[in-house]
Amino acid sequence: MLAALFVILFLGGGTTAFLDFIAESESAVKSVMVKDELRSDALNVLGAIEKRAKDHNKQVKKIIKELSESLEGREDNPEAIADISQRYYAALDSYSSDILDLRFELREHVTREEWAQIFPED
Amino acid sequence: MRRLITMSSIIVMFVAGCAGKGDVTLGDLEKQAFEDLRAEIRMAIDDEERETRAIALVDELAEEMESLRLLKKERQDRGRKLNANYDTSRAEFDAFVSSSDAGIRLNQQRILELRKAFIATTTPEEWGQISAARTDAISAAIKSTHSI
Repeated sequence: MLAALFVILFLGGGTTAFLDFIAESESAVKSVMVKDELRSDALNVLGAIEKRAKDHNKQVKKIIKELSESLEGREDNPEAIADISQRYYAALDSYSSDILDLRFELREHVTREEWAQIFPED
Repeated sequence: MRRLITMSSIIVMFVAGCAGKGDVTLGDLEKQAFEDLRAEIRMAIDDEERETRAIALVDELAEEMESLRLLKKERQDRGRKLNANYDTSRAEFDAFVSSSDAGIRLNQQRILELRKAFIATTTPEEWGQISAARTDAISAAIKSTHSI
């Protein structure tokens, strides 16, 4: 319990990644957009977002495991923890950048009106 | 302890059965998980002064957890809002991501200090016993926090 708790708090939460909810919009895209090439392109981008989010979560789970092992014992190992933390942020930066690229790519295939229906504010 | 674990199981069942209905929240689950942890500390540490110190540290961890849950929700809402706006610029997203990361980084040193304080308060045996504590509520709270 304690190690898991310290890991969650240290990493600022869990594995749920930034904007990965976009990938869950497949049914909304299918119902809002007419069946054409643009819709097909949009669905391909959603697939790429989902894949990237899965890869990221897999990577973060590995980092969590390593960090958990480091925090479980009573040893003070700041270098190991700093190294894990650095890798975590590198993974997070790369993920956020990729997912934003894909988000803007998706936008190119969707009109303003369609976007409002697919991603309502509430 | 048996009574506590039974209580945890009831809460976990409620959460599983009422997810989204607002009957038992993640906050309730966390509260029970930390109660379980306090109970474990009371069993593991015989020395009253150290027990009090360890319980105070758990109180701090519980506050950190609650803040984190609220922060995650806030970040999630902000992310959804930014995404919903067709005209949000890349720079606005980048600023949001940077500020989220900075918030997490700021917290890290404090969490490591809390761990050090916990280690200093316990013997290796006590630490081992408390670390191994894992009731249904604790497991469910950890899982739920990951999935927010």
